Amino acid sequence: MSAVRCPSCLAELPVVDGAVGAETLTCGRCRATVEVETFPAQWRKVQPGRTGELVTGEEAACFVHTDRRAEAACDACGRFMCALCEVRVGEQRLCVACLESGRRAGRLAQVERGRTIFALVALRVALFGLLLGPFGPVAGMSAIVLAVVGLLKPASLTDRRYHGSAIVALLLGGALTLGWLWWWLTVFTGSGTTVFTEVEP
Amino acid sequence: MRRESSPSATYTRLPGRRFGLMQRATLWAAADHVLVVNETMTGEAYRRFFFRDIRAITIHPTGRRERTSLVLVVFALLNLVPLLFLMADDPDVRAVSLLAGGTLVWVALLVANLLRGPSCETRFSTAAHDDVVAPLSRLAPARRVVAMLRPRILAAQAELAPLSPATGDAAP
Repeated sequence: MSAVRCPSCLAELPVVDGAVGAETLTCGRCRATVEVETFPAQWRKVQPGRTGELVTGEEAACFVHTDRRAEAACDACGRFMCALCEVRVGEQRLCVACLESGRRAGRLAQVERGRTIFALVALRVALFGLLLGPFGPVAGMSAIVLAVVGLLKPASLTDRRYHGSAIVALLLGGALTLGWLWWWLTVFTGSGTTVFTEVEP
Repeated sequence: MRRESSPSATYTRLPGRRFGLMQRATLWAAADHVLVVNETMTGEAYRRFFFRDIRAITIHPTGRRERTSLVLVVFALLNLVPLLFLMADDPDVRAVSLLAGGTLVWVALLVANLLRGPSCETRFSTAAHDDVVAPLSRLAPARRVVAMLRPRILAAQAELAPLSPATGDAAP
């Protein structure tokens, strides 16, 4: 059980033991006013982790810890797991290996810590392309491809689509590509407007 | 391992957001947790607070709105003062419109900052973390979110047995 601390000076706030609900407190050290809402979990001891029971007789053993009794089978690979190995993700019971592989493959939204948003990358690439001058079409075309991927792929975990960013990236990438390609064309073919004029001495 | 179903039905947007030059953060609620979404340069970073784990929520008023307002006033004045001088002498239309536009932008940002209300720092405390929730940086949305989450957190923690406050042990 830990104390509720002042966000300003980290001193312990005078919250009454076992209190649940909202109250406005003043920090005894820095005199800051803090609105505190406490919940039942505040007054709970952290439960010690389960380590699994030892195998006795003919019981099935854990795949990893062979001296521990199996309590469940992994929903993904079917290996037996002891209480120590079992990880509950939503309604699924997974072993650590499947949890990690599922997280890496992006199949477990509940443990996903971040996601690449192609529309955002496309926008950044297009903006970076503005700095590349005549080599802008490289960034422009990359931005177009990334923006199209961004429009097609499911974007955010919260289902936010980022269509605005993708469309801006498409327009910017298109303008960069066409603009600078036209410029390159005029340079190599000699057509178009004259950029430099010779000054008579 | 089955793939997660469409997340569209899972998350609902909560009040509060944080805008910065390179940062944008929003807050979402699921059936059993709150999700803080931080927008980065190339994607999103997620932070979850499960209702059953939240021990306390603290809201601490800060002076960030006043400091931000001061900076915006200075920038507005940096445009306004030359504008007034320029108009007193020989007004060049392009320079006047440029400075007037600049002044308007800073004044608009100042008004928006003032209208968003007093600033605060909101923290969610769990047994392992005590984290600042960036989207809840204004008092009004922070209080609204706490009011919205309170019943859900209490429901998630309802199965906890009554307490013995002195020891933190569950009463027999």
